[in-house]
Amino acid sequence: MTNYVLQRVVQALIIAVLISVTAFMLLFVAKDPARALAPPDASTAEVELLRQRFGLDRPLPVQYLSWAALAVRGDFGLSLFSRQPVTRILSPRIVATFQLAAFAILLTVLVAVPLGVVAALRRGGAIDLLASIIAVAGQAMPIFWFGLMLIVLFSVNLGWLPVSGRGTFRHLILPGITLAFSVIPLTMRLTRSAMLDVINQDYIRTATAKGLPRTSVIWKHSARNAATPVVLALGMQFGALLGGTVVTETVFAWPGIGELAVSAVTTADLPVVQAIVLFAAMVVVLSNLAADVIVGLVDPRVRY
Amino acid sequence: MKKWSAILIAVLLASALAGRNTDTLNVAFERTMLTLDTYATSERLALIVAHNVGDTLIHRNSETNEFEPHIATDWEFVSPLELVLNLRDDVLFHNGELLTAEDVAATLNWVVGEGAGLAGTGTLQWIDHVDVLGTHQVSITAKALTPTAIETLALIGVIYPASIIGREGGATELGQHPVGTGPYRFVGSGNNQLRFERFDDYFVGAKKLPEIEHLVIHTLPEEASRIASLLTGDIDIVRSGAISPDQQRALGNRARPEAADILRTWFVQFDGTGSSGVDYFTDVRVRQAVAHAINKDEIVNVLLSGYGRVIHTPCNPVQYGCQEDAAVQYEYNPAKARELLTEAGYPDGFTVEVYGYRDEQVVQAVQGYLEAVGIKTNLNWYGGQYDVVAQILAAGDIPLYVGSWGSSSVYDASAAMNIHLEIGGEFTTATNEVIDQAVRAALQTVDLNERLELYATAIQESTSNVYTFPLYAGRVLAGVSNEVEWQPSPDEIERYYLATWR
Repeated sequence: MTNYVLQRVVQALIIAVLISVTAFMLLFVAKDPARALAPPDASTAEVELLRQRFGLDRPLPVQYLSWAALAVRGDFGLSLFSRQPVTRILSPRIVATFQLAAFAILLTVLVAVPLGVVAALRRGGAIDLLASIIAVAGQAMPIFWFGLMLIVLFSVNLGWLPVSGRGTFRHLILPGITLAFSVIPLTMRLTRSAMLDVINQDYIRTATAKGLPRTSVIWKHSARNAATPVVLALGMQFGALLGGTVVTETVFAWPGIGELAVSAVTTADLPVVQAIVLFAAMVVVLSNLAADVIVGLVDPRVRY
Repeated sequence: MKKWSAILIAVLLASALAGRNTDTLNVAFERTMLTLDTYATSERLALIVAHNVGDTLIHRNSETNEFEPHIATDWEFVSPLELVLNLRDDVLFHNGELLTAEDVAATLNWVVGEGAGLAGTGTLQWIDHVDVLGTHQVSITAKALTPTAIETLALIGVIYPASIIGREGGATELGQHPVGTGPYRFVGSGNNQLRFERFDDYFVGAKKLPEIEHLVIHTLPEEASRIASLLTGDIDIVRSGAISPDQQRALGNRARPEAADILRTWFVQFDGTGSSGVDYFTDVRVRQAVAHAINKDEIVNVLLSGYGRVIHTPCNPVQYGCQEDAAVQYEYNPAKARELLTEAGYPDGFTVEVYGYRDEQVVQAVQGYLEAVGIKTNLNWYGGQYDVVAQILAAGDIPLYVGSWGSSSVYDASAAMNIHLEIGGEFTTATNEVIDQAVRAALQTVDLNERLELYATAIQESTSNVYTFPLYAGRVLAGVSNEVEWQPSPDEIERYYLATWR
């Protein structure tokens, strides 16, 4: 198990370094960063002064190393517009996005896993049909439209839940459902197909023939073995959600990473963009790593 | 069943009256503010916040357009370049400090000194320096004769505490935690909200002590969510311009549209110098072709449902000096547009990048009109991010631009004309000696007739050369809950302290 984990950690580190180089280079993609920092009517001499002041005249590898050394400590510099430390801007946004993503994943697990298991056990039955309808609807419906329909129904017509914002659990419900609805179809289909694979195995037939209780056969023997692809998929989806859920956050004015990313990209606030890119990518890397480790724990075959 | 109906009605009413129950006015803005320091940005939202949190020396009454004493009790030009103002002695900042002449001098000297390069300070750069004459008396010395001195002081010159603006990083601090003397005091931010409460020690002056105790400004980027929030009672006011005319029917019977004719004008701007690397528009015939290709009447009457007024001047005709009869007008005539393009050597048209940042449907309409005469355009969209597009404009990198200008709420043609015509303005994309001389001369005289003549010359020269092609003057819609009495202002400075519960 230790070798397996070490192998995965080394892979993750290599990817992290590559991502950090990409994020760093973003500063140089749009335009000359010294020119971007200077006021529009700044003279060439003033731009050169800024270049020296911010160390932008040093060789690129040197600049990268000093940037990375600070980034590792969570220092991404100042936002070009608000002049606030990027970390201070990012922190509350990360918390908000984490809260939303975690709630969406929780809803997904609560809905998609049981539905997928039951759909597999009652293949071709009414629940299987319902699961298929949910899967197709979830994949076909634009998330933007689904979110607005929830607002119309639960906020405008029924008046049960707030339209937007963050603060109480009630604020979390509609964006959480909207986001979960985009994740549920894949998770449910994976659960269903994994369960179908497992329940047709000989050892399940044997367990049933031995007279084990049905719940034990399903949850202990079948579901545990079917869990590997589902856990992997959930891990990756959680990582992707943490990287920002732009549409959902915009519709519900949820103050998360996605909404900040849109604002930072449109204002060309490069230090903020760099930090978001790095954060989003690192979250995916770490959640994949976590999923790999969990799968290793759940399924001994993987670690040998 | 009756019991459940009663509960449902109670829930609905509680939701609809949520703001009223907590004596909170909830306002929706459409975009995130990068800073709350109005001097750091030309962003309108920051100016709106500044006028609710802070005060200017002189107040302009938005109904009568008269200048009224506010922080300054009286003022006098003791010489053509020197303005002396006496200040009230009972004005408190939100941090408890008493406002004195030192604060006025520190703020305005910072604006023309350290803050001179900032986007929001341009209108006050006529100030040379400010001297303290006494504890409550200041003298403002102008660099040159400035006919709009009082106007700009009333609209932009918000006073900060010297103790903050005077120290390093003070302006940045004010951008996050504004401290003013105004009717509302900033209490915090977070979760896309800015929270304020009534400043009970407010000196009032020409303004008003808010009747509603709390003010919360929410950022709601999606229009459908803004309207839904208005309908549920989560929001009481959707700020003017954040609701499109075609959405007013969606307001139903819980809210109403309130309209205001505003100073903002919309226009098409060309790169007349070729600085962007595109030289199509250096030929006046191409610019005239664009002018003949666009149907302004259709934009206003159909696209904007009448919420606008067609203009032909590079300023708003309600501004002093902006004379419609001086402008050369271009009829909608696509055939003539194609003829002019052929004459200019582009019988098959050309393809060009167009930039915009607000009113996307108007930009798209312009794209459609241009395509009909053979000019294909690729849209570079900077939704809501004026600061960014202004930088690209100022760098001369934009060949074709569809945008708007609010004249910093100054009711004088100079506020619109300078930015288009005077060398150095961010929309300046051509140089013309006649225009530059006229505009500069108009800024150096207080003789009203002479100013009219000079602006007539500038308008005639600008429109005959089509340096900019004016489209329409705006009429904006705000969404207002039926629980609230409030109207948007023509100067686009929204005064939330005037709102009352119905």
